[in-house]
Amino acid sequence: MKERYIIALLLTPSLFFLFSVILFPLAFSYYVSLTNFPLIEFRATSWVGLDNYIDVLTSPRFWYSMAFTGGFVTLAVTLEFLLGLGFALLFDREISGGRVLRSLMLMPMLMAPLVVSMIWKYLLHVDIGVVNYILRSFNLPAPSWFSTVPYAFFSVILIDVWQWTPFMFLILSAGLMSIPREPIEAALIDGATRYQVFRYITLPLLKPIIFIAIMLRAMDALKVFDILYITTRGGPGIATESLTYYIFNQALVRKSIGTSCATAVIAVFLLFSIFLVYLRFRPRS
Amino acid sequence: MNHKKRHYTPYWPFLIVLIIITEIWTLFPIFWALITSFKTKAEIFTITPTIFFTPTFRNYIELFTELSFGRWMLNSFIVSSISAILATFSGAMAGYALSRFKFRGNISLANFILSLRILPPVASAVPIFILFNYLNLLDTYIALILVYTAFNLPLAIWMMMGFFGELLREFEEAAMIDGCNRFQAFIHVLLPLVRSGAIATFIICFMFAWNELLYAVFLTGSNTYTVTLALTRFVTIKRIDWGGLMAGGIMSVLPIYAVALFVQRYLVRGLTFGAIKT
Amino acid sequence: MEMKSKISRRSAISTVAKTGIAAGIGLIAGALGGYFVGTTLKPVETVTIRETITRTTEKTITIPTTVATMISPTEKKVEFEGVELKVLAMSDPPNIAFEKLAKEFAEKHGMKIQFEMYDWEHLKEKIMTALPAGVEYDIVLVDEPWIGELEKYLYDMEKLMKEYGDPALLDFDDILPGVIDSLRTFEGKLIGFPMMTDVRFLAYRRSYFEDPDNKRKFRQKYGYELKPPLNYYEFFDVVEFIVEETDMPYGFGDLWQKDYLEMTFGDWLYSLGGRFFDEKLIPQYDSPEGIIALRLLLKSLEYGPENKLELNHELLNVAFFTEKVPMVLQWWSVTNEMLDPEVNPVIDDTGFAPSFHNLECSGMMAYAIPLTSPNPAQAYKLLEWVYSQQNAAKLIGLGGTPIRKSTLQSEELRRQLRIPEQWDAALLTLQRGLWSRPKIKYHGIHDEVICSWVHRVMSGEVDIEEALRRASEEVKREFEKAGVYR
Repeated sequence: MKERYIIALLLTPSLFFLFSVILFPLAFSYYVSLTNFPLIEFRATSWVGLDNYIDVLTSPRFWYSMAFTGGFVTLAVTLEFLLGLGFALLFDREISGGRVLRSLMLMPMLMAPLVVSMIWKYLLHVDIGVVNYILRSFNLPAPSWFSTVPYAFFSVILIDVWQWTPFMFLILSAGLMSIPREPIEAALIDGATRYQVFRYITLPLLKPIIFIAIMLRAMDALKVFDILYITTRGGPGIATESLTYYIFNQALVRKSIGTSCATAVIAVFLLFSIFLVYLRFRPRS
Repeated sequence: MNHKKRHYTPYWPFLIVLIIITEIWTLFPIFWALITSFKTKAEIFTITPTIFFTPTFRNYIELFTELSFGRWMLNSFIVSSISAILATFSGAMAGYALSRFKFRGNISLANFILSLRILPPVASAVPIFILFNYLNLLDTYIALILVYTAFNLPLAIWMMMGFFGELLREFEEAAMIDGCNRFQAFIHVLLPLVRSGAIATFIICFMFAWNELLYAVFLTGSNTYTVTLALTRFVTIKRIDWGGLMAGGIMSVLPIYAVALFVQRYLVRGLTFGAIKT
Repeated sequence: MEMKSKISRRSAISTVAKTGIAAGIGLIAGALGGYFVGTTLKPVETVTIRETITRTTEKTITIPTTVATMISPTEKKVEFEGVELKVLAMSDPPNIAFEKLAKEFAEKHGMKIQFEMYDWEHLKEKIMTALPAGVEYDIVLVDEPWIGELEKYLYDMEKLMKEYGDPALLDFDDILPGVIDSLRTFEGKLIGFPMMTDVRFLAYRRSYFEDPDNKRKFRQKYGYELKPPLNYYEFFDVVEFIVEETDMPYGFGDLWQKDYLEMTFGDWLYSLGGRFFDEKLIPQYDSPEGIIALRLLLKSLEYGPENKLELNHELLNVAFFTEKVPMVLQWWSVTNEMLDPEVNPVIDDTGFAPSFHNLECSGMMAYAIPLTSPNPAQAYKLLEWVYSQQNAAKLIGLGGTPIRKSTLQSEELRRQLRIPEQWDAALLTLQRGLWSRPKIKYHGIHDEVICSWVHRVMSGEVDIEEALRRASEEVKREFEKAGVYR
């Protein structure tokens, strides 16, 4: 009996924050999504029922933003995983100054996404940026990295990868460190190659960690916004408009809060479903 | 704990080159930002970038003389540290409850809380603004603290859950055998042991709050202007003050680097503990 | 194995079920709660102006009638003493100029003044949420396209001028009429005090137009003198010539980034006699003029540099400075950057000419006083003083543009300019005529729709007629939902 009270007590502060700041406004969004709510009026001016939802679901732009977000997350997280794993394996040995080198590796993820985007905006600046300068000195084409279509995708993914690979690196590195050495030593003594050790011993043992690392990173990548806001602004056209950017656009550029909330509700529903499906594949260690 | 391979492979020089390339990849943009912050306007606006030039401190000086960068850093610091502390404590309590008490629905609740992380902050921005305006909480520290704590909680709870997992049950049971009740066990035995986890959680939450932009735009006013928001001032319609922007960016990142360096040991252990032990 | 998957499937289903139930409850609770909250959130109470002014007049302000009887310093101190003003502005140089002078004024009269400066993007977001929500500011910066949306939250500036204006200081007739007219709503209400005059015109590289070789070749090919173009025929001839016959890689730069397309596309549209909306507010994007305008815009795009689709003000200037284009169409206030030798390496070769469009986009900005301001009289006196004729020189020196006829005609000020032709170009463009961005209540929708569709045409994704047609439909649908056509 007493246990119940303790549990309740322990959970109360968290639930308070979560309900008041996250869940209640979300519920309010449900309501707003059924109305026409211009930002300028700052109140719901009329009840439109499911009109907003219909408009969003029949808008090719919305589906494109879903496709773009999906593609972005897949590419970015895959790259971050591969690079992160590579770095983790690379650094998984005794090096003099190893700790310093390792902590230097973490610097990108500690910076504000705003700052990172700005730095890359400068580096990839078509006229005064270093990257194009180097390309020009080798007589290679020096494109506009943010306003032409294939390059815009590449740049945006590049920025995300640069900033968040250290995150993968950190988690995978620690995972590698926690793997017991005995099976590996034994296998090596028995004549297995490094590659075989990696594929048949290391990798399976890392599975739970990989699962979590990818999950955490994907959850954040789905919300990509800052990079796009600073560099491409969803362009050229709407080529790099992510789901979050689409919601932002509805709310603050079109100033139509009703449709923005409808999109948000749909997005939450879809993302949540994806999350549940993902959980099903959770490896039992 | 630290098992490091000690293999003298013939690939050694190749590996060193790889490590160097990796470090350059990671650090070059930061290095470039650093040197840009010491350049003058003319040096920035050229097609041929320079590495060797006469440095000027003007950008940094202007941060504090023409703008009130110091005051803004203070604002950011207040908001970030308080919300991080709240998140860590609430997260610790909830994490403990969810991992040590096997009550009905504890896993579902835990999953549900973690899933909240998938929510795009943009979606709730305007409703929260409306709500806070109604409660007259705009341009107060409380508004931002509430929001940042709430958005940090899912991750905080989840990380702390990892900490209070299997490994520490033994300690708790040992302490209870020795005669403490649950509460005493929590205070005297477990809390010190999750110190590294708590510190790691604190740092992550602090970082998120410090670097956040969207809610800072909506919920702040002249009294609570934060550092990240201040960086947007360098982007004017006519030109981007790259020098000032880089200087401001470096200044805004220094506190985090300093803190992270200081507790680096805990950070690594804490983050990964949470990841591994769940 | 099987057992495990059974369990996980069951727990997954139960989780989904629980989530569904929770969502359902949340939906109902939210709808009820939101309905309740919604009805208690009243719109901002608009205080009648007469009341406020009478109240304040009785208490504090005495209006001077002539310059000679200026209020003595001690009296002013009493009136302004302890008043704290909050200003919401942009972080661009003209605003910094305002900040400096405003602080001077505040200090002189014992007032405190606090500034919140943001870049243009965030200022827009902030002002669109703060004003409707009733957040108290005394002075806010309003950009012309926002007038339709914000006007009901702002004081009628002319009423304040009548009640508190010091005629000598204000000198209303001295203010450029085009500026004042741009800041009026459809009904004629003046929403703010002009902070700067802005209009777009050409900045060009003189050497390319004065080179005798170029002149000869041009005359041979086209039959008239090479000079900065004054109409569309000349414009396309000149850019074609530049790209084909000179060493300049590209011919022309304009603001082609997505967010600015309402202005850029509007220039072509209005110059051809078209417009964005008719009297019933039905979008006219797909009118014949619209289609031709977009075609011309696309043609001009061909002569732009490789990053044409992201050209904003800053990148346009950089393209000019790094000698990629010899001609750009740029805002007056932004061309001030080109007068800075530290930033413009080709400053000695820079010239200015009027815009080649028949009508140019009017880009005024004003400082307005929101109805929620507790100190409208003091705020007004501050604006009046800062933008009075005596301070004009200081403001120009710090990066502003003239709002007064006397300023534009002042020989002394012109002599101080590094390139006086800049003002000539501006004047000629102003005289030619301006078009205003529609001051409608749902400007945001129109702006976003036309910008994104035109940009998609520019990047080759959609073709002209279809894009304009779908843009019109989209705006019509949104306006219908918002009840504009009732």
